[in-house]
Amino acid sequence: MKKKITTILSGLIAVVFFLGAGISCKKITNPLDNMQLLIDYNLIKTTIDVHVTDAATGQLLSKEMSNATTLTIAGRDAAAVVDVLGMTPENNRFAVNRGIANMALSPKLGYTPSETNRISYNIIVSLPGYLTTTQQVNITKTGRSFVNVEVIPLNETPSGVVAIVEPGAATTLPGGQVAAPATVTMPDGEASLHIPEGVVMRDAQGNTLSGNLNVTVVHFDNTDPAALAAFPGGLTPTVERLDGNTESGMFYSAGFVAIEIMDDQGRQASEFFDGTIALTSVVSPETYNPITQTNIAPGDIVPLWSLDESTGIWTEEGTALVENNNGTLEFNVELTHLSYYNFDWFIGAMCEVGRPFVFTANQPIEGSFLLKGHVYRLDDNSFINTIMMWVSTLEPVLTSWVPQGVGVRIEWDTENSPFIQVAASSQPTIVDDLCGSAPINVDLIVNNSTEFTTVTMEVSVFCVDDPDVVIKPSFTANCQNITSGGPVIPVEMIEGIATVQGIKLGDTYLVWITYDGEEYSTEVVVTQNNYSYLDVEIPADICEEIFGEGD
Amino acid sequence: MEEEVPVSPFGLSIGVKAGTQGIGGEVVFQVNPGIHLRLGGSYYKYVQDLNQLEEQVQGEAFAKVGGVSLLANFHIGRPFFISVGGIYNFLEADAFGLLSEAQTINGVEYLPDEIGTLELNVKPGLLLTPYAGVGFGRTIAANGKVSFAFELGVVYLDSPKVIFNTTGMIKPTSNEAQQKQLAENIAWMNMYPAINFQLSYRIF
Repeated sequence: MKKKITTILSGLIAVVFFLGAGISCKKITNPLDNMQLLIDYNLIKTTIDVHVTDAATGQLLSKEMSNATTLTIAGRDAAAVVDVLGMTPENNRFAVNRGIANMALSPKLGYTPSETNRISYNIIVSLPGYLTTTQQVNITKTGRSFVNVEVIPLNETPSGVVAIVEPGAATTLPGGQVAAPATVTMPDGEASLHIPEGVVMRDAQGNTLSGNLNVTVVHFDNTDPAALAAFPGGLTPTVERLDGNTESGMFYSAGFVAIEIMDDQGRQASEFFDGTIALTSVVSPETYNPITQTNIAPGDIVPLWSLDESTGIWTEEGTALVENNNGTLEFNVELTHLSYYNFDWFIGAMCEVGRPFVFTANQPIEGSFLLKGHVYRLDDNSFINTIMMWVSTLEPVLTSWVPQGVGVRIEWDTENSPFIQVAASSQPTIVDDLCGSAPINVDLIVNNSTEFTTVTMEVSVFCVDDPDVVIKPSFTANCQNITSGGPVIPVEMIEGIATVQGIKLGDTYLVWITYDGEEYSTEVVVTQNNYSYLDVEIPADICEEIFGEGD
Repeated sequence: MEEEVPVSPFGLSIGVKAGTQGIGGEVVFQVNPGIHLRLGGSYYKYVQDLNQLEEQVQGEAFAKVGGVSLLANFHIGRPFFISVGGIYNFLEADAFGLLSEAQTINGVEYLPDEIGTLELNVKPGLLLTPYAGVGFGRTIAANGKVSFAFELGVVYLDSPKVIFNTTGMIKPTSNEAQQKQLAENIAWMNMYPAINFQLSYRIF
């Protein structure tokens, strides 16, 4: 394509100058000298930035941890997800850099998100030493969206999450049968797993596990917001019911247990044969039962769900009975396959697009900024999810795929930004229903100190073999104050012009974009308002994929 | 080349002309035998279908020449003259193009309009352009009815005014910096050669 466009440019100029051929005493120069073909790569109308956060620290994954992270996508509309230049990633895998993965929706027909065309897919994140987790993503509008995924380190779990890793908890006979019964119990008894003698375990490919069986059990306390925030799969999922129907709604959780059994060869158990495994999970008596609208009680029946952590799909397995075991409430279930198990009521409906949020600040804000909100249900004060809003004070912000008919409390999180705070009048924001059309007003306070400024940066991407063809990107950039170590600040970038407000004069910032796993970054001491840099060379093979070989 | 007629100190002729300013006509008033005032007009427009030049491109280009001129001829000895004056100049070159076919990028087909159009328009920096030239012959016959003149000159245009517009994906190509660069690159094109042949008929 670039060749054809260059042909047009050259051809038209040649025609003009041929037809209007002039004479001059001045030095004759080529009209195309120092001219470039500048391309607004605006084919991508919807981007999704996935923030992968360590649930124990609340920080984005480090660069080193990001390199070890595998982030893949699956689910109904996985084919819609591409990278920020529109390329379909190999094996649906996206690179994570500094805890952030950038993805986009393909501009192909049928993949434009709207209120009547929700794009839904699952993100699966795994990295060594962490519990594999999933997150459903639902997009109903074009523009920029953000998703937060919390991953749990098994050796340093967040509040409300307990993990036990027991190497060699059981062994198998040569035929793969478990040689002797084994029980893995958490130190405080939150959950236990009993593996009977003779059971055979196979991985998803049908291979039989053998030798030492290493068992990991992770229990989530459903009454702890930190545990719910790290809840694999999230609490507003789409599920497959027993009757085969697919439904969307909200979990009222009564507990979650993640189980992984792996042999020394790295084969992970998926199915059991010649027996079942018994799982006991303790449930807090403070758990809210939305059916009885009181605390949970012995005899209550709670649906049981399994999460396929490789696809992010929730499936209804049946029900579990709340039993009283010497004053402790617990579930006892028999498992025929291995995954993550969840004892939850599944209630309610979702709306495709939520009510508009209108942000009003004490002074105009240039560009946009990211604002997090932790959403809690009013009827049981339970954490639902974290919403991430790309806020411009001039435009209302719409949220995608929010619970319907439920009152919520939103606690805003500006990550200790010295520049923007949510006013006390809006902290928290109480909303009777996130669905509807009435605006939800949120007041902001912007620090008008002269130590802060707004900076614009020009970012260009060009093909290494053809520097006269320059792409003006409209995708994600980030910056971070490395003088004071502030949070990562997503940067608005349109046609290669990035604008970011709240930059502290005199401090050093790291500014970067990421493409195809490569980070292109620079450090800058902020002394002025305009910078023209970050000329990013992209390899010839990527240029060929974008523009077509020799085309 | 002149037909013998009685000589008059004043005179008026009309003529037709053709040259790099196009095809046109002229009224010539003889103030005295050595000074002639010329009021003329000429025009020519050439249109080119770009697809005929490059099949991957669709669009059109045109070049327009001509203008309304008011000149004075000073005869410096038979048969040569010097001509000076001004031209309200119609000179303009313009081209508009886009790709002729849809393009596939990353498996998605984009129409030529979405990829973008490109338009370039160049006009003289001055609307009223000074002219100077030398000629051979006469634009009004000295001793007869019919005369012929040939002249060579130059029109000063000043650095051209450029309008450069792009749309769609290539919209940034015509940003302010690029417009300025293009204007600098063609600033040398500040004169236009004038070659003119004229045939006149003396009325009185």
